[in-house]
Amino acid sequence: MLEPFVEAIAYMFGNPITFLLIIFAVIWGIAFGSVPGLTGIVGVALLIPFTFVFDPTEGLLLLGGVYVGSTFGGSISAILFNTPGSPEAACTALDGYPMAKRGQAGKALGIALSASAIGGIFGTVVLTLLAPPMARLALSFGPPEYFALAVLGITAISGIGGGSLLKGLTAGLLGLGVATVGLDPITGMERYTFGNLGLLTGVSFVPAIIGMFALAEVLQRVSESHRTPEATAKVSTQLPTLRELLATRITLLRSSTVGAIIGALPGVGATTAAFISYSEAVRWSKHPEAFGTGVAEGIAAPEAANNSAVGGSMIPLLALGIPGSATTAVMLGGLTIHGIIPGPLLMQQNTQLVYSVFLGMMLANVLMLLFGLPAARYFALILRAPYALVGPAIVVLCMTGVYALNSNPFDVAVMLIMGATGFLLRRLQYPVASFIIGLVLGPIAELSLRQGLMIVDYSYWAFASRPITAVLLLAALASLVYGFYGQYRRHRARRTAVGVMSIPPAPTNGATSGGVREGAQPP
Amino acid sequence: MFSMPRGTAPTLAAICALALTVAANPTRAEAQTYPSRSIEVVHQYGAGGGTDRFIRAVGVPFEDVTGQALVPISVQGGGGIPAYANFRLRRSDGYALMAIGPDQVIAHALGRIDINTLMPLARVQYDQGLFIVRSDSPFETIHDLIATAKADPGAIKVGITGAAGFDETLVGLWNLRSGAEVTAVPFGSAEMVSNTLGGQVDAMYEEYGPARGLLESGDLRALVVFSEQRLPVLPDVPTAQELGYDVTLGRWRAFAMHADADPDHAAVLVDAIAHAVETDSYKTFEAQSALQYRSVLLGPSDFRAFVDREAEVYTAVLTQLGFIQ
Amino acid sequence: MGKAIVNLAVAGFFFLGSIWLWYIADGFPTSPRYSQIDTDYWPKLVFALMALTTGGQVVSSALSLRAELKAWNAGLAPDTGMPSAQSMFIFLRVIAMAVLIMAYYFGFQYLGFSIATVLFLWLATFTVSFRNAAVKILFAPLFTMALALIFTQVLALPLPRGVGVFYDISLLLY
Repeated sequence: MLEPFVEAIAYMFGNPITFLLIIFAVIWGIAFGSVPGLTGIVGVALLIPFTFVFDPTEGLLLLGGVYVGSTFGGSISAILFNTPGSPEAACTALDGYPMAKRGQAGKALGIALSASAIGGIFGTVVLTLLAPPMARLALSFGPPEYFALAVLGITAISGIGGGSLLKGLTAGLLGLGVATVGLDPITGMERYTFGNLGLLTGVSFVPAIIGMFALAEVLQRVSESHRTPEATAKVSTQLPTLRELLATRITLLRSSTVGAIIGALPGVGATTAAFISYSEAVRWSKHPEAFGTGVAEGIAAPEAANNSAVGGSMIPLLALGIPGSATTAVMLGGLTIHGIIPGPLLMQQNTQLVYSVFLGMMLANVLMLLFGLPAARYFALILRAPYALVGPAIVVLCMTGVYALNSNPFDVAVMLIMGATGFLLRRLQYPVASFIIGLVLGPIAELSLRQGLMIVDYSYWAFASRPITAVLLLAALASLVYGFYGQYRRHRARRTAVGVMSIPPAPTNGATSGGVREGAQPP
Repeated sequence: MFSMPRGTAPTLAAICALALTVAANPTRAEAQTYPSRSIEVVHQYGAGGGTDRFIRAVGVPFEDVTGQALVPISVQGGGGIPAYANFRLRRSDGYALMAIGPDQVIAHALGRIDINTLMPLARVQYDQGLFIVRSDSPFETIHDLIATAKADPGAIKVGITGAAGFDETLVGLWNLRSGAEVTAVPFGSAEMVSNTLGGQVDAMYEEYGPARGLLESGDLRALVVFSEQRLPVLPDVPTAQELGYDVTLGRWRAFAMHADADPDHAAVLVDAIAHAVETDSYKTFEAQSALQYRSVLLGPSDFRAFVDREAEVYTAVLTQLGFIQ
Repeated sequence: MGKAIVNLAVAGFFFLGSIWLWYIADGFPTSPRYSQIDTDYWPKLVFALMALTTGGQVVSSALSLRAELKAWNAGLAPDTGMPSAQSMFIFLRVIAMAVLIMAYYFGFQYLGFSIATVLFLWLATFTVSFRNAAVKILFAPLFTMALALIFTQVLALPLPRGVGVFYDISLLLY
C-alpha cells in the first residue's frame, strides 16, 4: 500500500530539481494570483511551454504548484487593497478588507493563510486517498444537481448584510440579469447587446469583480477626506492562535468539504467553491448580518474552500482524465504535450507520476504557508507608500491586467462600468456581495436549468424529484424561508425598540432624531 | 516661464526628430527581410487551450525556419466576433495572422463576418469526430442507436460543445442525412464527458484525441466516425459514409492573413509553415493529439477551394436547421 | 429625508427598468430547436422576480417616506440631507478621478500603453494630495517602463499599441 509513496519519494529525492520547481511554482503562483487581472490560469498557461524541457512529473508539479500558490495570492491584495487578485478571492475581500480597515490586517492575512493551508491540505488528502470514489460520485451530478447547487448559493444572499432584505434580493437579481448579457449559451442568440459588438462577450466576471472592488475602492478612497488615518499601515501577518483556529473549526471543516466536492465537479472550480462556501457560512452563522463587517468566518470559509477545491479539481483529472476546473483544463493540455494520455488508466500505468503529484501538492501547500508569510509582509510594505501613488498604480495594474487577459478593450470598459456601479451601489446601500454572487453563480444556474430540462424532456417534476437535486432544493427553500423569518424577527425587534424610544418627552425637547428612522438613537 | 534643466531643449528636439522620422517612414521595419519581428496570431479560444497549443507547436519549428516567433493572442468569447474584430483592426503588414476554423465559416454563413476579408493561407489540421457512448449503454453498435432514434425521434440526447457552432451543425447534418433524429444538448467540454460517463445523456459527439483516454480504458465506446475512412486505431467503428450517410465534416485549424496583405509575404509564410509541419517536433505533437489521420496540409488555392465548399455545406445545413431565415 | 427620496427614486427606476428589460427579452429572436427553454426563458424569469422585489421596495420606501413627511408635519426637525460645501468638493474630486480614468481608457487604445500610462499617472497622482512632487514626477515613467518590460519580455502578453503614429512609436519601445 505504501509502496507507490516510497517510489514517489525516491523519485523526488533522486531528482532534487523537483523541489526547486515546486518552490518556484508556488512563488510564481502567489505573484500571479495577487496581481489583479492575471489569474492562476494565465500563470499556468504561460509556463506550459517551459515544461517541454522537463519530464512529465516535473511539468505537472510545476503547474500544480502555480495553481496552489495563485489561489492564495489573490487574498493578499484582496485583504490589503480590496482588490481581489483572482476571482476566487472576491469573497475574502468582503470580510478581509473591513477587518484590515479596523487595523487588523495582520490578523486577516493570518486567518486567510492558515485557512488556505488547512483547506489545501484537506483537499490534497482527499485527492490522495479518495480520488477514484470521489470521481465516480462526481459523475452522479448532472445538470439538475448543478442547478440546485447554484440555487443554494444564490439563496444565501437573503441573509447577507443586515440591511434591507429586499435590497439584497434586488442586488442579487440584478447580478443574475447582468450575467445574461451576451450570447445565449444554448441557442447562440444575442441577448441585450443592442447591436453593440463589444457586448457580445458579455460581462465576464473577472473584469466585473476587479472593477466592483478595486476601482470602486479607489473612488471611495478619493472621496474620503485625506486626513483619514492610515489604519492599515502597520502590518505583520499574525497567524491565529490554536484557540482561535479551534473556534472556527466547524467553518473550516464544512468549507473544506464543500470545496473538495465542488472542485471535483467538472466545470466548477475554486471560484464557485469560494462563493458557495461563503454563502453556507452566512446561512449557518448565528449572526448572518455581521458578514461584510470583518468576521473571521467570512475569511476562513472562502479561503479554505478555494484551496480545497484545488486538490478536488485534480480528482477527476487524475482519475478520469476530465478536468475539474478551468485551470486543470489548461493543466490537462500540459499533460498531453508530454505524451501522457489522461484517462482512467493513468492511475494504474503512471503510478509514479500520480503519487509524486500527491506528495508534491502536499509540499506545495506547506510551502505556500511558508512563503505566504513573507509575501504578505512585502505586499504590506506597499501600504506605507502614499495613496497618491498606490491608488493610480492600482488603476494602471487593473487596466493592464484585464486588457492582457483577453486583448479586448471591452473587458476594460466592463471593469470601468462595474466600478462606477459598485461605487453607486455602495452609496445607495445595496449589498455588493449579493450582486457579485448573482453575477458569478447566475450563468451556472441558467445553463444547468435549461440543460437539465432538456434531459428530462421538460418535466419539471422529473427534474426536481431526483434525489440529490430534491435535497439541495429543499435546503435552499428552507434557508430562504428561515432567512425571511429571521429578518422579520429582527425587524420587529428594532421596531419595538424604536417605538419605545421615539416618544418624545415634550415637543420642544429638540428631539435628536428627525422623523421616524430605524435604529434611532436614544434621546 | 519656469526654467528647465540644461540639456532639455536638445533632448526634446531629438525625440521630436525621431518621432517624425518614424512617423514618416512606417515601413522602416520592413527594410530588412520579412519577417523581421514576431508575428501575432489572433484566435478566439482561451490561453492554454487546443488552438493556443497548436499555434505554439507550429511556432517552434517556424522560429527555426524564419527566426521569428508566432505569438498567440487570445481574444475569447462572443462567438469569435471580437477576435475577428481585433484582427481586422490590425495593419495588413504581414505581422498579424488569424487562426481560423469552421467557426469562422459558420459566422460567415450566419452573416456575422465576411470571410472574403481573409486570405486563407494554409490548412494544417483536420480532425474527425465520433458519436461515443458509455460502456454500459444499451447501444452496442450504431445500428441500435439509429433504430431507437427512428422509432422515437429526438429522444436520444447527444452532448455537444458550443452553441450554434460546429458540433450543432454536424449533429444537424446527421439528423438530416440519416433520418435518425437525435437532440443535441450543449455543454462545456469537461461536463459533456462527465455527463456521458454518468449516464445523464445517452451519447456525445467528440473528436478522437480528447476522448482517447476513456476509449482506451473501455469506459467509453465509439459507435460511428465522421470521416472518409475508418480510423486505424478503431478498426471496428464504421464511417457514416459506409452506412450511406454523407457526413464527413470535421474541425480544422488553419492560418489566414488579411485579404489585402502582400502576396510575397503570404508566399514566405506558406513556405515556412509547410516546412514547420514536416519537422519531427510538430509530427510528435500531432500524434499526441491524435490529429495525424487526415491532416493534409492545404496550400492557399486548395484551402480556398475547401473553404468555399465548406461554406456551401454549412449554409445549406444552417438554413435547413432554421438558423438562417 | 433626502435619503428616503433617493431610495424611492432608485427603487422606482429599478422597477420600471425590470419591466422594460422583460419586454426586451420578449423580443429576442427565437431558436427553432430549443423552443421550450428559449433565449428569453431565463431573462424573463429573473426580471419578473426583480419587478416583484423592486415593486416591494417602492411600496416600502413610499411608506417610510410618508411616515417621515408626517413626522415633518408634526413639527420635528427633518434631516434635509443637503450636501455641505466640503462634500461638494469631495464629490468633484471623485468625478475628476472618474473622468481621468475614462480618459485613460481611451488613451490606452489610441495612444498606446506607454504614453497613456505615463500621462495618466502624472495627472492622477497630482489629483490626490501628497507633498513630494519630485517623487510623483519620477514615479510615472519608472513604473510604466517596469510594467511594460515585465509584460512584454517576461510574460509575452500583449499591450495596446495605439493607432497611427503612436503605433510606430510603441514598436520602438517594445
